[in-house]
Amino acid sequence: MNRKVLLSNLILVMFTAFICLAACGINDGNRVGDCTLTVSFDSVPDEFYTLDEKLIDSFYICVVIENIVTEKNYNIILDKDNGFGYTAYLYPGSYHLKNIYAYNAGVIGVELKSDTESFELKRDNGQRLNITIANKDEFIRSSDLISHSGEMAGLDKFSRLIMTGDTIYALEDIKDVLNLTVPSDKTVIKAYSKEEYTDDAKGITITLLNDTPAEKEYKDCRVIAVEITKRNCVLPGCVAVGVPGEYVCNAVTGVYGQPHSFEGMALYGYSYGSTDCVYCDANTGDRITVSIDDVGRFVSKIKYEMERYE
Amino acid sequence: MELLTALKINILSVISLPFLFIATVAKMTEKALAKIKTVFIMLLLTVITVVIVMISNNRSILPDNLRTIMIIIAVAGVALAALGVIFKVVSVIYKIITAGVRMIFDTIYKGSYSLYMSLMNTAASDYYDLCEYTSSLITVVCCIFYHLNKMINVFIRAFIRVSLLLFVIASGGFAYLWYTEIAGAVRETFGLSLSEYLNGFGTWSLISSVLLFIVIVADVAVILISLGMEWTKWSGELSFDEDDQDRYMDMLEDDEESFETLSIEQDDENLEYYEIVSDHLGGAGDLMEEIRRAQVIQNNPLLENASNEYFRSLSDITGEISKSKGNMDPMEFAGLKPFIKHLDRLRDGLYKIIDRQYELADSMPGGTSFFSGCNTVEKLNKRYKALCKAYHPDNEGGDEETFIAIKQEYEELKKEMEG
Repeated sequence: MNRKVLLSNLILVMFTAFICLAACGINDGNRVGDCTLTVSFDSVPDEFYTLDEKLIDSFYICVVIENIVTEKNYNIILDKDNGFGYTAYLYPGSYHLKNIYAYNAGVIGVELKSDTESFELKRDNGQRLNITIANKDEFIRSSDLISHSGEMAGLDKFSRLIMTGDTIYALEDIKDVLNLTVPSDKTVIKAYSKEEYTDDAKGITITLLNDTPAEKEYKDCRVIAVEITKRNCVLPGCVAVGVPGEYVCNAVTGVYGQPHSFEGMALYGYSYGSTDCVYCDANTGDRITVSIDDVGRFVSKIKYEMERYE
Repeated sequence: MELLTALKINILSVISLPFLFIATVAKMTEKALAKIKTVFIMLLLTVITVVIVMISNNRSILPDNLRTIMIIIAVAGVALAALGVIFKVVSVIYKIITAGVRMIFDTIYKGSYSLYMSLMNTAASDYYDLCEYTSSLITVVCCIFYHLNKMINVFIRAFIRVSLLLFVIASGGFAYLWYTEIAGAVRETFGLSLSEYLNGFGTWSLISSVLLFIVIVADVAVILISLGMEWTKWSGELSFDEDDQDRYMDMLEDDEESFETLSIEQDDENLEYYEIVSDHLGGAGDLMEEIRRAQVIQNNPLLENASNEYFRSLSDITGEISKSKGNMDPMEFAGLKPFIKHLDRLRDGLYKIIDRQYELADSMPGGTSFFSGCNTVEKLNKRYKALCKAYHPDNEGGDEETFIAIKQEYEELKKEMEG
């Protein structure tokens, strides 16, 4: 091989190797400059760490900050693997907190906030961004709720009772303690119709039925279904959103035992959608659907439907 | 001095190793790119299945009146027609891009592999020089990276050769692992066997979920197996053993028999190219013998690779001409010109590698002898066997005079070593 060919080949290979190395090096979008920004999940109450391990494993916070001048976004992930803390290396400049997302925040029952909305990054002065639980008291109360819900333990699953706060309510009466969001076009329910109403703070959605031939004020309609998506109420057997799936639905050890049927995705545990365990009561026609998270394997949603007869 | 040579050999071996890796990765990528269409088709199939499964699990999103269904079908029809046009355009762009990218990877492969072989040939040359002065065990220990490099080369080639088998096993393993993972998760969470769990689902839900499982497993299997087939085919191109040599010679002999004078009038340039092909075809036998002899000196993967490429190209061109039985359209023949030109380049490259093999033989202990580099009785016997195959008078291309000289030298050296 003559030298010219050898040299050109060498340059070509070196160039390729350089590109490959450079591509391997660009693996962290948050390591672009020399100013440090430390983001951490702070003032976490001890009750957080008493949650089911799978629930904590699947919980992560995504903090989105934006450079005001360049309008470039940086996503910072806080999770169990990094101890809910992360140091990003960014360019100097003015930034503002664009958003905070949290996966499974609803299930856990936490709302997040930050101590600052905007900040300046300088070379000689590192910044801190603290993320805290906005509804700390409520979260602690909801944690206590499950541990102090002993009176719900021995009840039959179809007893149509629900515990929220420190009080046990009949499911039919739950609408009286909820702060429902009622759109203006839904204050009245048409004849022989049903409508859904949600209390966002409590994470409870109820379905109201008007089974009369005339229009009816929503307050006067009957509750036929209750859906729970947050960890702040307890159903009979101390079942709540966020508890491990096997605690509720295991055929041998579960408080509700073997489900009568399953719905949703049969490929369990593979991010293709949750698996729903269905329990039916032949006498009353009531039906409980317990949704099990596809990855974390904890209860992500509970729906109690009355007199469904299916 | 010997120590410095050993150091040089080790350094050359270490330096050459990244080029081997780059060459391997580049060629594997280039071969994988040839299968990118399969990957896209399988991914599309998976996406369609996922959509069907999602809809089947949320049937409430489906419209319940005929008019809406008809509108959706009409819109879907128009969308499909538009997609068809887009697909046509994209497939043309895809062909151009993949051809370009594959060419880049192929160039990287050729460049890296040539560099690797140049560095290793220099190391080999020095290694045989070193063998003259020191015992084989000490040489092996001192040139540990040289041997390590050769082992890695053998390992990579072996991996490529068995990649199809490995990927078939991996596909089966993937399906089995996934199945056991689901069964384990179901047992842990619901305390049920997989069959009890699946019995709890409605028919449609069960069918769609099982369908998704099968499609994803098939997806992985098809992608891996087609990739394995491509790599295994490439491994065949890398080697050039006796079977390959015989196969090519048989093919070329068949072509030579049916290689007739072009009956349709061709222009002067076409005739010139026709002569070049005839020349290649006529000289193929001699070149094959040269390759066999050069391979006896030392097995050289680059020589194997280049030989394979040359004979494959030659048999493709002669096959094309023979097929037309002399009635080749001048335009069609003109289309072969770039390949014929390439044939010349390939043959030049082959002769250069063969020359390098002889240079290597000169630097081996024993110089230009038939048995240069053989410092043990085992090596001597092995070389003798190989030389007999190449030069025995009963064999094609054999030569009695050379064979007698080989035999004499072998007997003398054997006596010397054993005595």
